[in-house]
Amino acid sequence: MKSVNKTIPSIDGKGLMMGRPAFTDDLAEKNSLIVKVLRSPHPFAKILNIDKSKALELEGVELILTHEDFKRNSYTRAGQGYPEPSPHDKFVLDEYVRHIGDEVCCVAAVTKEICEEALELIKVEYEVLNPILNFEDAIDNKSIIHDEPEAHEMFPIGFEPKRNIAASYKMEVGNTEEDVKKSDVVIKQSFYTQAQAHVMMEPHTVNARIDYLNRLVLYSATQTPIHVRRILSQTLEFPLSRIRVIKPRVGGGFGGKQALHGEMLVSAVTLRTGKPSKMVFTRKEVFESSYSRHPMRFDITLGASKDGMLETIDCYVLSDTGAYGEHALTVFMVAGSKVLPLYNKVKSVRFHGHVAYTNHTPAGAFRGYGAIQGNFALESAIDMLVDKLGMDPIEFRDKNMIKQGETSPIFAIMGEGTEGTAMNMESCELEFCLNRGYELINWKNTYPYIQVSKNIRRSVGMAIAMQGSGIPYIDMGSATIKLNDDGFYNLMVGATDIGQGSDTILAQIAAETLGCDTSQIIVYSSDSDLTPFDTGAYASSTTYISGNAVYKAALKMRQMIVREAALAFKVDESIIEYDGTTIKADDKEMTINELSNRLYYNEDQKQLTSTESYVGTKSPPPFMAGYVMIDLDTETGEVKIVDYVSVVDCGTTINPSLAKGQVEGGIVQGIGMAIYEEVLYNSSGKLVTNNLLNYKIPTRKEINKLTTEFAKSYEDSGPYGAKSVGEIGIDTPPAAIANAIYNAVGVRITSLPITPEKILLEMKKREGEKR
Amino acid sequence: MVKHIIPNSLSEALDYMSKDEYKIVSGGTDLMVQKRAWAETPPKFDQNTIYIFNLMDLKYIKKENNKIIIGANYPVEKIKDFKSTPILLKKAIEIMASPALRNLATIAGNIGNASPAGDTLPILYVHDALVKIVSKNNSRIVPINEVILSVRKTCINKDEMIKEIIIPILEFTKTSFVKVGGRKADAISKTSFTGAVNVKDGIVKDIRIAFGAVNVTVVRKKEIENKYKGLSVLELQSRINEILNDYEPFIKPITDQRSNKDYRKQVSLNLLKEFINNL
Amino acid sequence: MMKIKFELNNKEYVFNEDPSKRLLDILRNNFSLTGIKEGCGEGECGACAVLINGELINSCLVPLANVHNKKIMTIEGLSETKRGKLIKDSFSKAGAVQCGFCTPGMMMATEALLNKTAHPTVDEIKIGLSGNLCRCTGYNMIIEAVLLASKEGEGLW
Repeated sequence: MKSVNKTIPSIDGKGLMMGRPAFTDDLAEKNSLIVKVLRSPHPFAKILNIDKSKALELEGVELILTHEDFKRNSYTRAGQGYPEPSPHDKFVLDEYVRHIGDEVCCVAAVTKEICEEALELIKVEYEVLNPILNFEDAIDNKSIIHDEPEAHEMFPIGFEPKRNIAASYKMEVGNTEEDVKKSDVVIKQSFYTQAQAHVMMEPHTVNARIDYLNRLVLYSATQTPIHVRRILSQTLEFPLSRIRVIKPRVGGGFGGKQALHGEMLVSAVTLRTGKPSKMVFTRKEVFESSYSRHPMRFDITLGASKDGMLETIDCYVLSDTGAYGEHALTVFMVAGSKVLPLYNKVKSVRFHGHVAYTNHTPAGAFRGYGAIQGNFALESAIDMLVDKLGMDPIEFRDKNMIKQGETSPIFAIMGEGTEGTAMNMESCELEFCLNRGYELINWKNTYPYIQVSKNIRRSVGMAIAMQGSGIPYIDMGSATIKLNDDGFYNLMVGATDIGQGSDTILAQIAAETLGCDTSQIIVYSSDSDLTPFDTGAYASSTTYISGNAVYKAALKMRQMIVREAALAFKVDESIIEYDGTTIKADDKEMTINELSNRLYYNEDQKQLTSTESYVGTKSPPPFMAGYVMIDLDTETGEVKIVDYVSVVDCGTTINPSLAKGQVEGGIVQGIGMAIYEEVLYNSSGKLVTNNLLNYKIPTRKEINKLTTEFAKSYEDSGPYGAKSVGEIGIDTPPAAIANAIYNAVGVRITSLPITPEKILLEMKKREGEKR
Repeated sequence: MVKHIIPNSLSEALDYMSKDEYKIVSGGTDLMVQKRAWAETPPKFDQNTIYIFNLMDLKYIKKENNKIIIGANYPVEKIKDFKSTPILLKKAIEIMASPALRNLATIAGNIGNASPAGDTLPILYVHDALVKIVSKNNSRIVPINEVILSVRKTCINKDEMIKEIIIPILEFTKTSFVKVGGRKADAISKTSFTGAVNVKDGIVKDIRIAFGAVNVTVVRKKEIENKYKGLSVLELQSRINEILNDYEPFIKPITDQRSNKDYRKQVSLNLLKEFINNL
Repeated sequence: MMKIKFELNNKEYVFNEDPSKRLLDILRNNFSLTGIKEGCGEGECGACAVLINGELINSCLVPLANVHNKKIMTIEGLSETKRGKLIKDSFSKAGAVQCGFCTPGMMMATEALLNKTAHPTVDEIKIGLSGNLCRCTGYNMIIEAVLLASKEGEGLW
């Protein structure tokens, strides 16, 4: 292969490095009105009155919008397939505020400073209501967070707002309760995960203007421009045909931008004033007023036979969606559907639970999307079981995990919000990953631990994981390729590059298929007026879904070129030879430049374009084994990650360097979730960890060795054998690190993040018990 | 009308400050963040402000008679690179925040903020550092432990500013600075331990211990140190439990967003124990 | 309002401004320098880093008064220099760029580091770039980029 499975630098990298105007805020109109939001100081309250008179008197204040200015159209901010599996429980502005940082009203003024002054002059009277600040107290609480009659589900998702339930779900294969009773060895344990924040470096940013055709044009840092356009149109009752959403370069998303944040308000301001407007979230607003990861409690029961066969998995999950139910059901289901099939030899499996509303910052999509939470719980529990069985963790997994050619009944039962799709593992190199990681981390000589100095213990731990490649029958991608004179191409895709490099790998797929150099492919992505449909950058779908669409479109373009060449040479298509630059037939020869110029200016004049779409009929999972080596300081409880070994099966890597970037970026985020990123609320429901000083993402100093390898693997249904790789990297660190800590000092930490405080406390308890 | 002043010299600055009340902005690190309003728009300076970052007459470091003298404006990144800077201070600066912040941060700022978690403060206590505080007509030299009164409270008056910090160079045979934080690049520690000893022929001639972030100010107890001076290292180590008991009542940390009090206390005592045991 | 004078990317400017304004806002809004990004506004992320008299500083923490009579270099200026071009090529080759939002700040930190230490060790690179947060990469590819720049830039620093 010429272009695929080759490392080339990302095509947009150099321009971004030089600071060229490329991101949303770089492209705002110079005279944009600044839009700022007055945010709720209360976790739950009814707004009785908003006195904006003083603020309106201020020179430079253009407009103040409150809930009275909007029709009560409920919607969901979640950018998902339509109809959305998330409840419509949000209003552009509402008379209720449901978490600290929720929107009260918004000001549009000519400068930031005037905006701020205006915000201080607005007087709001609240009736403070009893908040729910603990998700385990939410269901059937006296306080009802969504009592409004307009809130509704789009199809059955177990939505029971009167009980503070945003969604619920239950599935069972076989009879887990019976099988637990029959099992020789049983483990029962609860696990907790926290509301990790995305901390993409570019805050949520959006701007709007009315163009010369009287249309509303938005630049938005979003992962889902097409969903944004649809939701804006439906909610503001403004014609879809008069909205254009452009996604410029985006400074990271990780799921955080798979929703609308600010698009409604700038659109409303611009539509009402006719003036351009812009909104840039402060870092505090990103923390408090967008959304974060769903915190969850897993109550897991595992049963196994004496000889080490896993018989049954029973799992109840309670998830906290905060004030609004964005991605509530789907994240919850992925906590099962992309975790449980790892152990496909069980006789029975049950997965059920609820997603509860609370008065915390909402939860939503975040890389891993439930799988990281489920992986922490299940892979920790497996090690507990292994310990009780007296077995080796690797041996146990090798015996019980899913392998090439096998399947799991869960694939057919559980999808994302709906039923799933049955599939066999046509490409599954998990066994290779398991064995290769074992060697790379030097498990044999380190497990369970070695004492490296008086107070430092070095240990190893591991976990296995799987994700998906798009959502079958829901996620659709499409691509248009246009041949230009001089023989270069435009590739127009709806696929949304948010920094992961999808424009680059899609260009590589197109170049490979067309036989040309990648530099001949000019990519333009995500402009609702100019690019064809794509659901967006989420659910690990771009390489597999959008990649397949590009492959099909390129193949078609190639056929069109051959047909035109045959016409020019007056020969049969079957004798045309085309290597991407030169077209030959018998003794005749022509370059693609000559052919394209001929088509533009001379003979058989026409524009060649090809458009193709792809919708998945299955979701081939990428797999990985994650092995960690840690140094644990028994004096301070501090954990240092010495090496993190990832052996990944994502099929063919279209661009090995970018694939490695995806895996390692995911690993570091997973390490952050595992040991650094603590989320703290105070007793009145205020997020304390709302800045980068208190909320600690890993810096360069924390990261030591990362060892990343890819298994040789080929997925027949993927473009050039590729599966997706966007999320898989994040899944293993929490469980692998928890397992390594257990192997070092014999304490099992069951809640994230695993802080030195928790480790030392448990070590102290354990010493007490020993005495 | 709020006044903004960029003075050309220290005396000019002090002259302004003798007439009106001014907020002093040096590197600006803390102020630019603290002044941010509720809506998180850029800071609004609603009082008289004097910008001293550019005052060259406060930007110096020198060695004089076994002392290091550091001008109030001298950034910590440069202090770290000065060859005579005591090793403990270099260590504390090295693991403090990031280069971009260290280019703005000053020890004077650390003192002025009087945060119990200020990274360089325990080192100043261990070295018995002195602070020269000046006003238009006055100048005084105050020991570090008398400058810092409590959390965010100092003895510096409104017309005064720190001119320089004087750090005696001491002879130690072994020093230790351990900062416990969630991340290595954190500007603020969960707890920190500073230990320094001078051992000659197996006898502890000098021992100095300080704890950061475990009380309202840095904990250094000369009366405890004096008790153990003159002992042999082995004798000192055999009395480890007594030493721990001596310090225990002064280790009174709080629970906040960075850590909890039990952890801070246990780790502080663990670090002390480790230091003594490894002499 | 005060008269402020500074040299920005080798050109001198004199203008009247509020001295308490953030340098970040001045550079982005008055000079349209889009290479300077605001990631946090609290000095924690390094996306707005510039060189002031050769020292790496986060422009969100700098009141305009503090750069009076100083020399400022931003990524737009650095990109024009030999060193800047080399750093850019190295980052590109090492695959150190994902979303690119933090990268200009990273490159400024790289320039500041190499200026001080032409051949840094991995640990020195970690410290030198510790104030620049990145949420996309695993950081190691950025370290490779700095090592590459240091190697290929023999004699430039």
